[in-house]
Amino acid sequence: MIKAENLSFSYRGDEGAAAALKKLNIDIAGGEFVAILGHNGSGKSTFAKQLNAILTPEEGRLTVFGIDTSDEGSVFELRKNVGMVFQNPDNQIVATVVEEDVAFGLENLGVPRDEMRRRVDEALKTVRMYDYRLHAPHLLSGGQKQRVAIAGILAMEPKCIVLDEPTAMLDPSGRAEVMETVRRLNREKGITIIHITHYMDEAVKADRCIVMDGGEVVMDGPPAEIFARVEELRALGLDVPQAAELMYELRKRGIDAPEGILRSAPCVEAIAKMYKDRGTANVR
Amino acid sequence: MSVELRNITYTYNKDEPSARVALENVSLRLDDGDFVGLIGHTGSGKSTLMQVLAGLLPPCGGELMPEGKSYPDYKSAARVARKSAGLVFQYPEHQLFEETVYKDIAFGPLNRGLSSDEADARVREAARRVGVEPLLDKSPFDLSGGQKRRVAIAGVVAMKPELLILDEPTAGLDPEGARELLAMLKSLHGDWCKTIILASHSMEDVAKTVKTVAVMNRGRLVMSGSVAEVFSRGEELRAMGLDTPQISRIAEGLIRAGVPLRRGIFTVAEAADAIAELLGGGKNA
Amino acid sequence: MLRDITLGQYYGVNSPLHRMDPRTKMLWVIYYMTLLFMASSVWEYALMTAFTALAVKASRVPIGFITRGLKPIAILMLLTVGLNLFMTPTGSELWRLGFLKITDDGVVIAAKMAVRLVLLIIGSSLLTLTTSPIVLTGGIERLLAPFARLGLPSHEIAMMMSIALRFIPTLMEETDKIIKAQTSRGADFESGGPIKRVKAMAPILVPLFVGAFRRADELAVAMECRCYRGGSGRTSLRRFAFGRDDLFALIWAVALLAAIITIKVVTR
Repeated sequence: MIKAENLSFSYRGDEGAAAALKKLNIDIAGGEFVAILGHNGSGKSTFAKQLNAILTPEEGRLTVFGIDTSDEGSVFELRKNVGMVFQNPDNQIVATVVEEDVAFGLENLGVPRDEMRRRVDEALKTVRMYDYRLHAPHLLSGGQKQRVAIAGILAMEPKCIVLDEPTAMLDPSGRAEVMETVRRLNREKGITIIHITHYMDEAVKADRCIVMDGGEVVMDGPPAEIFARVEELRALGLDVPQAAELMYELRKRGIDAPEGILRSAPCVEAIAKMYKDRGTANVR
Repeated sequence: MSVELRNITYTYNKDEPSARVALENVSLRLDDGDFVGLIGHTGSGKSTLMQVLAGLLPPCGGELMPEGKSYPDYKSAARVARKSAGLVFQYPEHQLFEETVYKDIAFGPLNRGLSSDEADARVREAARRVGVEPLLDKSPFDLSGGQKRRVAIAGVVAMKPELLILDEPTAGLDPEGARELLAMLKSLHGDWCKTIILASHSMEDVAKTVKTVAVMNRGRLVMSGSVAEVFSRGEELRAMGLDTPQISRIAEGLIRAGVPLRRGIFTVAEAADAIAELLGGGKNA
Repeated sequence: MLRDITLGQYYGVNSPLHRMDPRTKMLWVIYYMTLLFMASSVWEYALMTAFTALAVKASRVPIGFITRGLKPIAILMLLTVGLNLFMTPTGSELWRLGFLKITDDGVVIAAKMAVRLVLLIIGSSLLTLTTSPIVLTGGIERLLAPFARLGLPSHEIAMMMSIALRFIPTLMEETDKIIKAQTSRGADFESGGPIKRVKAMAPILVPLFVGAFRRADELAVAMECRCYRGGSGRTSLRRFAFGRDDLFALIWAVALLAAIITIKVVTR
């Protein structure tokens, strides 16, 4: 449903143009949960901004749900379908009351009041912020603010939500809240999720990881496959979950530890099994 | 001794309906050479505690004792505390203001009354240690996020504080940026700053950087001890809404599953060594 | 934390006055002021005082919190009372020192003046004490709405006010943080002459403005992403409802007017 063909883009500054995306080819199907990884400056945020035509391709083509993002006439149709959540929760909340912020997009679209009321309430309930609907946003926690931002997008009933490092400024519980919400939206409502992050434990929860570097896609595949490539990820300035790192370190120490383990429980299971069978097959 | 806090309490918006207790009877002692990780969920009082330590927030009760000494009044205690401590706030790059990186780093040393020669030496040395030396003539507003962060930290480091306090210094950095920053802090500890206290949400970062850990919960200091001691109390930490490093969760799980692993493992390298040994030793073991 | 700050002096409890529609309260304050300036006899002043006391009680705001608001205008009050006390030429003389004299008329006029001022302050501060700034802007927006037909950009004004209000606590918090951070770097904002002090503000103001522009930038993009395109064709979620408490306010307004007219007729 999202198709980038030879998409190139560069930022023009005082010192000439700096290429941010280089002939990018990405295909994302409807309903997928994709994590995009890469160090700062790898082009991942630039790609995100292309998805709802905040930036448009210099060369190549990007179609999102059949809409060419370079077509200025359908920009509102596009933005209705592709919602964006940004890093700083403070700088994307417009209104001074939670429910009014959630209504902001609907007000812009001219949705009638009764319909708006219904959609705002439903969106707030979905992100579990309904009890806070009359609160002032600046008194909420970071995780709650991001959930309000997600509700504001959800109320517009999009097909896809792009989250550009939504957890970078949050504490662990805030991060967990946001991740739980995003996963639920993907599973229960079938919304396509494009989640840009630095946190490997978040990427692990996606169906697919795309790793970007220097404006190009350098890895693309399921998390288990990507995170087995520890050396390559490190060279790209990225981390791996400690479970994957441990398995990798064990393999480096000559132990035949299985690949594709990313979480604590399977890691414990695998090592416990190796311990039970020790002295037999696991030492090379 | 670097600083001592005795029975500190602090309440925001005292005497108003929105009053909120941030610190309750907190006593803490930081000795020369300490490298402390301060953990606690948002709102646990970490940031307030750091501001009290740096002499920037007068406590509602209790005594601030910089250099471990008592002072006749808060004002004089705060003056000494501000002189000996440097606080790097969260997102310190938002406080940059000068035309050049050099001038921005020199702001602190010049305020402390150093001559321009002394200040110059300080700026260059601090910039070198923090890794921003090639940027000195640039405008701080033209740098990348990670560079700005380093410049801002250099601005505090250049004052050569005995006690360096950092609030979430790696927040928002990419993994490599965070790794480099923590390594840089480790290299500062000892000869440049005697004592460092570092607040972080990343238990992995804390585990591999600091020597001792202090845990805040609901305005109280509830635990302190070596990294191994604190992280071995995983259940209690999780009850406070805190995580432990994934590797120590794995180690705990292995012990529960009957693998005779020793306790107090909190880095991947240690775990890999210990497990390799248990499994009959790999070729490197 | 500074993020708990509220603008003005809002005292957040639940009371009939807090529950009232902001527009009702704003119109009430104007109405109350008019009544106060219409009042002439001692009886009317007594009535207004009693009514104000009742309103204060109903607001559940502690009296100490309210009188705190009177302090800044104490000098102004002393001056007004003093002028009226000594400068009223009519009435029989009670006391005299040189050209200064106090007459019985002067005492009455000064007393009325003092009561009027105190009531004025208390009455209008009840509005800000019981209405959060957020609700207040909403009310102002609605009160201004009819003027949109006359070409007043009421949507833009309201949007600006609302965004300003939304960001004032954020910027206050940021200012506090910047001041502390620069203090930790040895900055001194308190000593020295005026020029030195103005210069000392740069380390605060530069980051504050840079930050405000960054926020404005990000907010503009976020608003665009949510299909914002100005006031035309917009609908609105908020509907101010005339509630039971507003009905009471109306009844009180009529009753008060009736009482004042009665007093005026009877004492004529």
